[in-house]
Amino acid sequence: MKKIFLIGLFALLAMQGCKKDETLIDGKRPEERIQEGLEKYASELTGSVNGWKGYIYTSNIGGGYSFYLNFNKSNRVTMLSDLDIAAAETGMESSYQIKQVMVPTLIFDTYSYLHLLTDPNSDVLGGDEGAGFGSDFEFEIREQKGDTLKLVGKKRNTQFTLIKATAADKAFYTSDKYALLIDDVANYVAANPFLYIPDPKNNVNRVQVNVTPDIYTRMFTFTSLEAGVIKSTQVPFAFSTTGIIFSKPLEFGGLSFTSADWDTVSSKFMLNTSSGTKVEILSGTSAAIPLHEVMGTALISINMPGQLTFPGSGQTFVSAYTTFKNSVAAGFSTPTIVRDLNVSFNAVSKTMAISVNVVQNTTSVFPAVYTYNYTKTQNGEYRFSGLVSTGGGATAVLSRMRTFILNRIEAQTFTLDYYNDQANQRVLGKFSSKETPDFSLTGTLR
Amino acid sequence: MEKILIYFILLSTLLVSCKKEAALNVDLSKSNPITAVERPIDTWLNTNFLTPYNMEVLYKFDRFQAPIDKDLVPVLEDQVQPVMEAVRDIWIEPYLQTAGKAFLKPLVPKQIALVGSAQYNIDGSITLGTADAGRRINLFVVNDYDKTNLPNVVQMLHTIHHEFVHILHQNIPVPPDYEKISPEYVGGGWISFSNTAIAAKDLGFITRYSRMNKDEDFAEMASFLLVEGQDAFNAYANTSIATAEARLRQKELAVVDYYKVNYGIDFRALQERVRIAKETLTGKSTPFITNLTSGVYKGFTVQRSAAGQSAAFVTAFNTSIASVQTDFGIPINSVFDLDFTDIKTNRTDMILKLSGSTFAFWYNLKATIDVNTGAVKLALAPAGTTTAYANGTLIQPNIKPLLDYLTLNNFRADWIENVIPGSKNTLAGFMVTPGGQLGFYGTLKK
Repeated sequence: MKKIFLIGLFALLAMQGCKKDETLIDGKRPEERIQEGLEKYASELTGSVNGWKGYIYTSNIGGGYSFYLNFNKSNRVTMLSDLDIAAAETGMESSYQIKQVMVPTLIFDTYSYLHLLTDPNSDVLGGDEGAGFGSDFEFEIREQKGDTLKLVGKKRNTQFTLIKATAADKAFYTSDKYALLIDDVANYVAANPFLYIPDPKNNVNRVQVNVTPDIYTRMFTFTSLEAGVIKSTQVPFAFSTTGIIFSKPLEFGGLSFTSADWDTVSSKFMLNTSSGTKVEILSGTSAAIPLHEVMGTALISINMPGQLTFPGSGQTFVSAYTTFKNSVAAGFSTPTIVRDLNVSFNAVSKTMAISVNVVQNTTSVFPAVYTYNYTKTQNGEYRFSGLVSTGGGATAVLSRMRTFILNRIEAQTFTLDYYNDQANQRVLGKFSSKETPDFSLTGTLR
Repeated sequence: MEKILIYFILLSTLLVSCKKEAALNVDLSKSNPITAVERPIDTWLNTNFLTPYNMEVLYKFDRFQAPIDKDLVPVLEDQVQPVMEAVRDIWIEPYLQTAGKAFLKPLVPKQIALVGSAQYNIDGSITLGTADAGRRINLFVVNDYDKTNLPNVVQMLHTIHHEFVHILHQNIPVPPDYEKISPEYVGGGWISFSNTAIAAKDLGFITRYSRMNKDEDFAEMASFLLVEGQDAFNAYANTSIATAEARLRQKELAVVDYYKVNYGIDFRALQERVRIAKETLTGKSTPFITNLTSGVYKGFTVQRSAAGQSAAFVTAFNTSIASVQTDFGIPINSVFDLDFTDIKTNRTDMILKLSGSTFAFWYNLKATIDVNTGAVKLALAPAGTTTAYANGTLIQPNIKPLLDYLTLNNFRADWIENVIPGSKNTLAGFMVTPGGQLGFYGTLKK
């Protein structure tokens, strides 16, 4: 009995072992399904006669960027980009592959405009050293919806959207219109630094609009003042065929803004909302919201990176700062320089800190931070008191700092304003003494 | 019996189960097909690397050839051929000509993977190359390569030579005595601020990175001797402190021995071929004046009677020695030295060393050298305290014509290949400016 049982068991095993039938998903072998997927996307990409529009939004710094791409059947892609005027005018050809790397994957495997955003060498396009803007050039093809391919970067999960271009799109990109648009918008926002829209809620207040087409900060921002509180909301944008397009809808005042059309004839922006409403962006002569209302919350500091002062600084300040720097340089046996002056505000603790970096032997950096409490009047006049020094370099240069700069900070009344540095197409912050208007400094706002 | 039966059944079950009648029916050509069309660069790489050496050059970015956690970029296609030409001419060819195919073919890495950017590491260093298991070399910063920029070419070739030396010592280890020469290895701590270039130099390391471990030290030494070259090495060793110089010279010999003993390679011949290849490819060589001021040479031996010395120089010399003969009856030798006082301290203090009979006659000279133009101006400096200087002072009025010749003329120091062909690296001369005619020349002391 036992024998029969054993024999029966092994017979069963033997039969099982011989079984050769396969269970196949969709009746296809894995390599066939892989090849099918690859061929499907390859024919999609190469099959679009007018090419593709691509939008990418970086994760480290920057904002949005658009591309116009043409894929051909021999694994070559030609692209244009809104990274700068030259890249929008002149196509660059490179290689691409569609490979199975877990899922169908589009890899741009030799250098092109797209890679500028990932280049870890900050001398190439800027960006963070070792990380670039935070972008990708190897993308998983996640899904296809009509004419849109949704791609996700393998390394940084960057969203890259490819949309089949129309004949009109192709005409736009292959003419000089793409470059002109980028140039026009840059010139427009430089000439009109104080853009606004009427508040959608009451049409009375002004909502400040900031469009910064610069590649490092390509953002669209709304800033409003509601019951004394600054509210700011922003979204990355890229250039499109009609103007600028936001990475995602920007919710504000009950409306959902998706893009802005650029009117080439009258040179102005018309915002589009998801409900179809259009809102014109207007240009004012002064900031919709005074700088002192924003400083310490939405913006925190006026910066002078490096050793030089910025355009628009008053002569009294420039001389004082120069004398201070020279005095420090002469005052130490080790080579010492002062750089990176920064005036920062904190509206919560009501403090203002004026700081510099003291650099010895070009490598050792000692920050010197001088913090004051401030009081501010309704119309933005500041008074400072109660100095606290912190940082490794603070004590060493305190007496000189006092003589040339701090004494005046403690004795006088100060105001904040915007300064339109038209030559360099940027708006700076300006911090000036009311009693000695020439004692004023300008710097980039952050 | 029962057991035997059971074992028999078990055995037959296994046999039946394992039986595979057909080949695996997977068509791998469908699994991830390569669809790229061969382009001129692919043909060129096949002709120059794949066919002769079985080396595959991977220039299209493949994430699996490089660290997966780093932001890297692919190569610019136009950079591939220039970089690989340099690799072929300055690395493969010199080895091939010196050691032959039988040596090179088994050892060359089977793959060279090119990456556009450097690899940025967490500790703040950047990686320019890596070698994996003697089979693959990764070359970074390909996009920055510029063959007309000598330091740039040196950096790239240093990397590949360095990595190849790793392959050599992975096959035949570096003798254990090597690491006793400079035992101060610090591993990953080489990147520390305390390991300055000077600190490493004082311990007899050729670069900061050499302090990593003995293998890196050896690879750095060999690649420095080959790519930066013997002149650069001499300058480095000559300007090191005495203990460090001794260590560097010992390591230099160890490298030369290692090549001879283990691979039968004449390192000096290899070095010379690399130098010529480097100069041919870039069309540039290190200017004489750079060598002079960096400490390659210890001085000059000048022979008055040598062909090509200018009439003015010979006259000044002859007048001087005739005068000494008349007044003191001492025949001054027609060969004199113009040496650096102490090459480790500076490359401007020199001693003019005349001799005659059993006496030495010395004069201190101060050279003012312009490294950009090669202009040299000599001036008499205060005499030293030894007898040789006292002797010099005694006959100084008689020697005045020669001293005047040396100190009143403006010179430009350079090779004199146009006067004496083939004399580069052995002879150098002082051209009188303006005019540029050769004034006098001498043999370089190394």
